[in-house]
Amino acid sequence: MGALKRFGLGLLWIFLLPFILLAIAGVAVWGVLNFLIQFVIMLVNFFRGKKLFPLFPEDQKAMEIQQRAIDKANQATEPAPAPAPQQVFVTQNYYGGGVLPPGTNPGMQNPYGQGLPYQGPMMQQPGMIPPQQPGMIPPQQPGMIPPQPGQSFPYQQPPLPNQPIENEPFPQPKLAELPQYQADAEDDEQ
Amino acid sequence: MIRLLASIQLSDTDRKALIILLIVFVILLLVIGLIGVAIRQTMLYQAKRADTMMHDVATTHVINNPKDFRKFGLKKNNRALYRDSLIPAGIILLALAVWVIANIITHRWGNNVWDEFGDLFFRFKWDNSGYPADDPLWVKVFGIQILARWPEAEAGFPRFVPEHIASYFVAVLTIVAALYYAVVCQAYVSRAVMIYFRSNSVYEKSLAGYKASEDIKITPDHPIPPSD
Repeated sequence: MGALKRFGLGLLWIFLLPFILLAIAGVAVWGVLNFLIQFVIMLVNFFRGKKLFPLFPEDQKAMEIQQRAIDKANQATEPAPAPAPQQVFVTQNYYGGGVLPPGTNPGMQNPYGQGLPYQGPMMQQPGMIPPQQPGMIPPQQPGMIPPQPGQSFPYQQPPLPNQPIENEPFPQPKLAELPQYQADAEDDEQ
Repeated sequence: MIRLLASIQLSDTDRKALIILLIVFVILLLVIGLIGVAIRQTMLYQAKRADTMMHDVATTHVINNPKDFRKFGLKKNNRALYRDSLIPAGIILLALAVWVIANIITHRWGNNVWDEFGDLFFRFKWDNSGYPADDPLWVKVFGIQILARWPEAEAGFPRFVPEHIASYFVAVLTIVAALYYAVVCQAYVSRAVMIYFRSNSVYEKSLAGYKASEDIKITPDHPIPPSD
């Protein structure tokens, strides 16, 4: 039965073949013209710096609509993100010669001041240890937001290599300059 | 009628020729039927490709009427035709390059590529001059010239001539490119037909099974419409 069916289809194709060949010949001629036209369009796009065959505006619009629908569906299914835990970063400023925040007067710094706000990195005084209060977090610079997880730290001046603190010797008085006590004759009379 | 047919007496050679003709006709029919099947399969595959091309713009309602659908489908089909034609164009360029290089080397610019390619096949005498008058090759039947017998082969078997190797490559590449391009053109026609049918079916609306009287909401603001 299948062979008979194929035989019948063969007869049909024999009758239709001239028309099919005519259509294919016409398309072949159009295909050559179309090839030249599309080649020129491709060259123009190439020299303009665009993609050789950019998306049609209709395809672009369809893609945008589909993307919006996908984004909307994703927003509906995603759970609300949990709030980030607060973390406090304790930093010890041992930076010698660090850049002072603008507006800070180095002369106003009182490293031994009690209760005075921490002014940030300060100039090392010879022989002095930066003030530290155990258990207390040094107050931040005014206007500074504590860093949160995931945040990138702004560039900070890298710490200076450990340099030994060279204490200047306490100025020793020169004994030769001190006035010498001399017993007077009047003291002996009294 | 049967007696008339039975009274026809054929000679042995006539009988053999008739049997051969019948066999050739059946084989030809089957071959053309298989080509038809191949054409049908190509059309089905290209129809799916046409659906893929037009799916997004139709489902997102970027295009909402058959005219724009056909117009956009033509643009996409032309670009697909160009892309598909790149391969046969490349093959033809390769054949041209082989022909130019071979002629530069051998300095035989006037050679007939197809004549040299014929070395690989039997050559037949296709004109009436080599045949006797009572047994010609071509006969006129109702004004149309048709073959009356199988042509005779020329002397010599198929042979391979090394000097003609470039012509063999050029001829084979050209035939492959021509067949490939024919398939590409048939694919273009298939897609165009599919796009035309889809442009009507995608946007047609049917009222079959719809009952206007069952699809109304009765509210004080919208009373039941009067019926004729």
